[in-house]
Formats: sequence, structure tokens, C-alpha cells
Amino acid sequence: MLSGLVTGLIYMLIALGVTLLFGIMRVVNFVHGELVMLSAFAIWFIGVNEGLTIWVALPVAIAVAAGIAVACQKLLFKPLQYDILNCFIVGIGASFAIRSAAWAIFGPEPQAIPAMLPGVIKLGGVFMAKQRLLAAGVCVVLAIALYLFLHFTRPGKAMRAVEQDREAALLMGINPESVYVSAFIISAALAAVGGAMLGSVFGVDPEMGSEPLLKSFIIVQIGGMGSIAGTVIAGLFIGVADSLTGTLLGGELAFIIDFAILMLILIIRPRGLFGYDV
Amino acid sequence: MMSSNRTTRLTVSLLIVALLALPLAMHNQYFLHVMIVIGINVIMAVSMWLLGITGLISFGQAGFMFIGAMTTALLTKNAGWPFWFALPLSAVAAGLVSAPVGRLSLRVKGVYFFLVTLAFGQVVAGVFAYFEDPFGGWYGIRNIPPPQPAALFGTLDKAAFYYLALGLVVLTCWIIHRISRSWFGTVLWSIREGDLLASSIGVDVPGSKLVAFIVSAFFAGAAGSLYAAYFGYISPLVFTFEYSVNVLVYIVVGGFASMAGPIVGAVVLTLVPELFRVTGKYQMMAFGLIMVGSMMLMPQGIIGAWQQLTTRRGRA
Repeated sequence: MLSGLVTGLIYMLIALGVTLLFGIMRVVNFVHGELVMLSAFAIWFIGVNEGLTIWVALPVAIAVAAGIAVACQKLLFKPLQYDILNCFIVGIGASFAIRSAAWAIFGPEPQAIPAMLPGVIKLGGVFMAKQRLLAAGVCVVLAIALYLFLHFTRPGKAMRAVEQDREAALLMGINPESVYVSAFIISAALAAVGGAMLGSVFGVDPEMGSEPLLKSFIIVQIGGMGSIAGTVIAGLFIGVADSLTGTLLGGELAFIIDFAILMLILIIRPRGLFGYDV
Repeated sequence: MMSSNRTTRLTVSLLIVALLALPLAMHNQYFLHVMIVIGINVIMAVSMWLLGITGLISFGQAGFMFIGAMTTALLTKNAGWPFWFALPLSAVAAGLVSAPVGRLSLRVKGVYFFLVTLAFGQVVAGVFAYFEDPFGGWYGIRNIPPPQPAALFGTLDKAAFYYLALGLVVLTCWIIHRISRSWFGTVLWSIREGDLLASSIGVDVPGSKLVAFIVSAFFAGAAGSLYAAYFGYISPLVFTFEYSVNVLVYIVVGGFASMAGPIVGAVVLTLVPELFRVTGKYQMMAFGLIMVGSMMLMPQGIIGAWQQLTTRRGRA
């Protein structure tokens, strides 16, 4: 139950990056899952292969993810003028290329990232790995930090201004293009931290990005595309639903339950809990 | 216009005659095998294209193909039915499943629809993988019997199966061509210009999309049935999201503007990896790069680039 919630929180963190980009520039970034995977590999490479600490590895992983995200934005999404359908298709292509490159470089064997906080802790009669608690804490803190950033700082307010009306924001002296770049960097950083957490809990392999991406699509769609609060609530909801089905029916059915929930939401409220029409 | 129509008709009939005569000229089993695979991919590409006319892409096509393949496998292997009954029933089964799925998923538009159908395809594979009893789980189903008479289709000679695949391809392409040129087809093209615009001139937008969705699932089911009977083995690892994307790449590379696009794309992109013997993970890399490259450099696809080339030459 608790461990399912932790997984849900990590997925929520990854989904926050998807929803941020969608809210600001109406782009569904399919490369997001590969950013998760690549940053986990970066941490594995630096932290395990080279033997440096996680505090060196994590910033490097964030830099790698941000670099690839900005490269995708400049080389793929901007020339397509952020057209939602074309960007989606190009993103799939780029994601396939990156994933198979990772297969070729790192091989199919799963690798492990050692826990940043080893050991277990007893919480009300249940044993929990400290690493999972750390992951949950990081996810909650980052979600709150993102909310505070968007609502109480100048760059965050600029992002929301561009989200609400690109032209009007331009007239107020905001450069949308630089806002887009910073949005891509923040979203990539969220993916990188998500990759670090996911890798330290479940291990690292070239396919590890695809399931969180699919999950975050479902979470974002249930919560409403572009809504931070919706993403947080839907992420928690999916995490609980997954762990319940996992204990009652077996883990493989969890995805089918998620889909059933998504279909239910589409019947009742097609735009998602907090979303707006597109 | 009339004469260009006539040349097209002549080219198509010449092409069909050439394809009919092909096994006589090149009786190479590997070659025939590649041609049959191309045929299955062409049916998938054309079926996806029909819904693509409206600007929607169903990333769950592999799921409908899987439903068709599973229906054929269960009917011919477990129930002992002949393939010739199982084939239409498989297509109908995929169509039946697609009706409620389409009814719900078409409530959302654009990228939302992509994501819902994507999830649907994963769910189909997940369900078939979870229930081992009839569906064989992750191991899939082996030894699916070939079509009757087994003496003709079950032997090592693939010529009979080649003609079966060719017949299905021609039938599918003809039906979908007729649909796309019919009154209903013009309705679909009008939806591409915008839902609101189409509904303002009295088009039943959700209903038309739903019909196109069901027809496209129907032919995907038929392709799946053909796949199951030909390979004799199906598993959740075959009908993946990656396969749906491959089919999309056929259309993107070929071009959306006419039905020749998906056909050309499917033929070229099935042949090229075979020619270079690109397999496994590098095939996915090649597909990804081709997809990015053609979106960036050739957004209208091969057919669009060809038309641009010929009209420019015509004007000069």
C-alpha cells in the first residue's frame, strides 16, 4: 500500500514535467520518458562506474536531460512551430531512436543504483526502505516547490502569463521563446530527479522510461492536461489504485484498472478533473 | 482530369497483372515471404490511413490486429473452424470491440485521442498476456493451423498464400479507395479541416469519425487474421505499440494526401530493412530516425514530394 503510493508519487513527479510543457506550449513531449531513462543511466554511470557520490551524479544527470530536452526543442519542436500533432509524431521517432541507442550502448541487462539512504525503518508496524521514504519526500517537496515557483516568482509568473496568452505576454515584454527554454529545462530536471528515484528503487534499464511515460499520460489526462493540482491528485489516486489492485489481483492488472479509470473519466468529464478544453 | 484518371486506372491494372504473374517469374520462397509481409503491412497502413483522413491517428491499431489474430487462433486451433469462416469473424470481432472503444475515445480530440488509443493498445496486449488459459499469456499461441486445403497452404511453397494475401490487399485497397472517394469520404476530408467547420455545414462529426474508426479496426482485424494464419504463432510481443508506430511511419513517409501514400510507404519501409538486413534494436533506431527525418524534411511524404516535383516540371 505505502510502497505503491511511493511509486505513484514518482510517476506524479514525471507527469508534472509532461503537464508543465503541455500547459505552457501545448506540446506533448514524447521524449520525456527517455529523459528519465538517460538520467538514470547517467547517475548509474557516474555514481557506480566512476565511483563518485550521488551529489556529483545528480547535477550531471540533470544537465544531460536538460541538454537533450533543449536540443529537441530547438531542432525538432521549434521548426515544426510547436504544432501539437506533428510534435507528437516527431517525439515518438526521437524517443525510439534514443531508446535503441541506449540498448546499443548500455545493453539490455538491468543495472542497480545503490540506495542513497540504506536501511529500513519501522512505520506503524510496517517496514519501509528508507530510500522509498526519501523518494516520496523528494517528490512532495519538488511538487510544492514547482507550485511556489509558478505562483510567487517572476519567471514562474512569466510562464503562467505565456500559458494564458502568448501574444499578451509578448506585449508585456516577456520573450516566449526563452520561457519555453526554461520550461523545457525545468521539465527535464523533474524527469532527471524522477529517473534517479525510479532507478534507485527499481533498477536501471533501457526500457525503464516507457512505462512511467505511459502512466504519466494517463495521470495527466485524468487530472486534466496542464493542471499542476490535477496532476498531483491524479498521481496520488493512480498510485493508491495501483497498489490496491496490485495486492488484490496482481500487479499486471494494475494498468488495465488505470485504463478503466481513464475511460470512466472520459465518460464523465472528457477534459479531466481540472483541465480545459483544447 | 479524365485522362489522368484513365492512366491511373491503367497503371493499377498493369500493376495487379504484374503482381499476379510474379510467382511465375520469381519463384523464390524468401521473396514470396517478404511480399506476404508487405501485404499485411499494406492492409494495416491503408486501414490506419482511412481514419487518418479526419486528422486522427489510432495508436491502438496493433491492438485491433491482435484481437483479429486472437479470434482466428482460437477459432481455428481450439474450435477447429476453417480459416475461411474465421477470417471474416476476426474482422467483425475487431469491429465489434472498436465500437464502444471508439464511442468513448472519440469524446476527446487530437493528442488526447492519440493517448487514449495508445493506452487501449497496451490494454489489449495486457489482457491477452494476463489470461493464460485461452490466450496463452506472454508465450502466445503456437501451431495455429494454416488455411484449408492444408495441402495447398500448409506446404513449404508460399505461392498459394501469396495469392491469398494479394487478394486481400486488393480487396481492402479497393474498398477503402471507394470509401475515401464516396460521399462519406468527402465528409471525412471535411472533418480534417476542422470539427467546428464541418459541423457548421451539417456534418455529423462524431458519427462519421466513429464509422471510420470501426471500418479501420475491421480491416486491422482482417490483417491480424492473415498474420495468425500465415505465421502460425502470435504473442503479445508481436502486436505492440511499436508496431502501431511502424504503421504510422509508413503513412508519414508515404504521405497522407492520397491512398498511394500508405501503400508506397509500407512497401518501401518493409523492403528497405530486408534489403539491408537491419534487424532488432537497430531497426527501431532506423525507424525512429526515418520518422524524424521525413517529418522535418518531407512533411508531405514521398507522394507529396513526387507530386510537387512533377507539377513544378509541368509548369516549367
